[in-house]
Amino acid sequence: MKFITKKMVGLIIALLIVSILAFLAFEIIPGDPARAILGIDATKSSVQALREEMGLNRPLPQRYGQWMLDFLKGDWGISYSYQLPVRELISDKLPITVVMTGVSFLMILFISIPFSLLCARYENKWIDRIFLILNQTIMSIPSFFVGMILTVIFGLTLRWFVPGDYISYKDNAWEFFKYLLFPCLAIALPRSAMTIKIFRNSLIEQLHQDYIRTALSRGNSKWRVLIRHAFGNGLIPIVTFLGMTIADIAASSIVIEQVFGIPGIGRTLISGISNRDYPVVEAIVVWIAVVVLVLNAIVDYIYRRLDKRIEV
Amino acid sequence: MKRRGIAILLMLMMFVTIALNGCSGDKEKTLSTSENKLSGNPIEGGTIKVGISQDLDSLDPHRAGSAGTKEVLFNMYEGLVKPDKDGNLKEAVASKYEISDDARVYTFTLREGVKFHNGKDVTAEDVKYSIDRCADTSNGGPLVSAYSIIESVNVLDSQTVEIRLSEPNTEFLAYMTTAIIPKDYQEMETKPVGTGPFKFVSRSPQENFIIEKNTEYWGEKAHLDQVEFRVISDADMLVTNLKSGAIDMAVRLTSSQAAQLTEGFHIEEGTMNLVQALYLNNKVEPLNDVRVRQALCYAANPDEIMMMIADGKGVRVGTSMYPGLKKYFDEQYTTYYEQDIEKAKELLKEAGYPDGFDLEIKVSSADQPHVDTAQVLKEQFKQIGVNVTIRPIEWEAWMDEVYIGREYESTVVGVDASNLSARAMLERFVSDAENNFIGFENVKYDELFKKAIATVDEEEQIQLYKELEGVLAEEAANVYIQDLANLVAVSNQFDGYTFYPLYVQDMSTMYMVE
Repeated sequence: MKFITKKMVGLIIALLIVSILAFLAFEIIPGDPARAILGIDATKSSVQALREEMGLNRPLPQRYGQWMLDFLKGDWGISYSYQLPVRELISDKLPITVVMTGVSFLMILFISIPFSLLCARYENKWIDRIFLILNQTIMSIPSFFVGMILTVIFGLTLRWFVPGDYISYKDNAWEFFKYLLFPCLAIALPRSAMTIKIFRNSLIEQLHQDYIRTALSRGNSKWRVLIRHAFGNGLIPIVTFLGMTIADIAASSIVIEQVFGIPGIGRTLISGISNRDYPVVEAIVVWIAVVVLVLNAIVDYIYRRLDKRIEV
Repeated sequence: MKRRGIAILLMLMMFVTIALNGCSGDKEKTLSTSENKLSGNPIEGGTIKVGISQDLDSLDPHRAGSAGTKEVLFNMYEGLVKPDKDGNLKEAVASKYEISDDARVYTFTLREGVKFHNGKDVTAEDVKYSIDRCADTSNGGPLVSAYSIIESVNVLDSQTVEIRLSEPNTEFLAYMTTAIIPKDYQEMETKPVGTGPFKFVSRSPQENFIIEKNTEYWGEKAHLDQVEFRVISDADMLVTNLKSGAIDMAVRLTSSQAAQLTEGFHIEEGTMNLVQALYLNNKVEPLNDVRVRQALCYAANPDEIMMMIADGKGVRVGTSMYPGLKKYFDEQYTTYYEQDIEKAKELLKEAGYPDGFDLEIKVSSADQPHVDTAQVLKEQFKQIGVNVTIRPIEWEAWMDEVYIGREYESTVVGVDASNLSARAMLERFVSDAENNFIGFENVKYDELFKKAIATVDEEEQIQLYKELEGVLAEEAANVYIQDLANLVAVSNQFDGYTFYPLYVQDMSTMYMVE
């Protein structure tokens, strides 16, 4: 219980800071949302009138307070560039990003766990060495570039998918899912490589412990010892890493959405920034922060469960 | 350990090779594709997918601000008159118009049987509502700034509307392209209704905008059943999407993008209908000296710029008028300044800058042609000792700092006219014009302009406009460069693309081929 209270207080403070920073950022960068709406040749007087109407002329603390109150009440404002409620806009895009993050995360698990076990089992054998090189290479390529390579190979040459031909989940859920596979792979590959590297090392470290030798001397097979004994203990450093990975996936997906032409949260965020669409950007930034912080709290919790020695 | 290093190196080389292959385009092949003419027969129906670089900012035609939105909405909405591909204004919702001799009263007779997309007839009341809405000043200023001279809009009878102006204006017809929408209709943003050849189907932010054929259209009906505009904000993805078949068409490609589309596409070549120049802040030192500005004009070589950035495509301009406005474009100013380094140096010496000076060029980082142009100018100005620093900035920041704030020395940008009138191009250089972002001040220019807009006779007016263009050239208000090439890639399954002398993507002329 104490754990949860502590986490909740931290969460609220972090959210306050994030939302204030997002507000301040827009104060500092040049650009006027009223002019962005009215266009380049609007007269100064009409821009002024619209600023007044939008409440942009009020002092910053007052605007922030108002926004905060409305946000807590569930009113996230109206998008400047779409004249639609921000809530509607985001809830339309959210499933895309959630599915992408989820699928990428599962891909990372399915790729990295078996290969880490394999590498640990055959430490310093040829298969381990191949993965070492492969890992090093893939790790050093940013996911957007992996995305471009996948597009060239599987999209334009082999024609396994049509780059840019995104299909909305509302029209066809299966086609939507299929289209997301390659973008998710682009996100998952570099992260999987890192996960394999860390997990392999952690497993090997376990394999050199005394309790493993005891287990082996009892006649257990090496695979059995690896999975039954080393796996659980080797998992501890990986849990933290995977927790951070989810935040990282959310960040990568902003770029990957551009590369594959997926109209998700990331693209909405970027266009919101360039159109000075404050309500949209504020809401997205705060939600990304919520997701990251909540996931971190969950990771901390799992971590504690895995290893009783850690007091969180 | 050593062997691992080599393996990594090999891997890296492999990836770099893949990446570089993707970038290189085959320049020689473009020429043949641009001449490729389709022989297939036109067929009715079909859906075309068109890539657009930015999402629509509003579906309400009166509130749509960006050129990218207006050119798409052109398919859905019409005014009393609308522009055609030759730059003339043709009757649309109105079937007839009359302009009084003093150019103060415009009378429009509505076309019989024009229906909105929701099935209702267009009435004189709808016309009055639409124009009044754009002239309304209760929100600071009218939505269409030219409408500030409207005195009253009067419904004479169910088919006739009269617009009275507070001052004579012979070019007011160009502003009668304002979309006619149903009176008191409140759902423009979600269920837009117009009278154009296409009607609204659906819209998903950051994804697409879909319109379909209006089978009840009063004029020549569209050939295609449906058009989907897809938002593709990343310039590199545009080409990938064309190649993969995700979209069938894209406009305003660069020549290197077009060069990559060697198979399955034909490239149509037009101009963008804007004046690209190195716009100079006439108010700052040393650019407030006409000799310095002229020196920059003599140092620049527009032909070389076009060669470098677009394989020579584009049309040279020498003043603030683009060739698309045929009546007003005066060829003689195009070559008013030919590159002459000696003369340029001479002028700089006279002005007291024998060793040149430092010049900053601010440019919107998203506009590759402008960034490229700035690069070439930098090299050209080096020859007369002018030391250029290029500062790429984000578009919103450009608007704030350069266009509105006028805190800049020089900038490369394209200036266009949202209406088919020469006046829109030239009015901004009047001393007290609010959008005179270069701070040009010239007594002769102001007087000539006043005279020009008061002139009722068209021939005489054209002559005066050309004189105004002459002043801009002589005074070297800006370093004029070109009207950029507009390359349009269309899949070989489609044809019929038509260029307009302003920002318009007319999908009603497009058709599928067998």
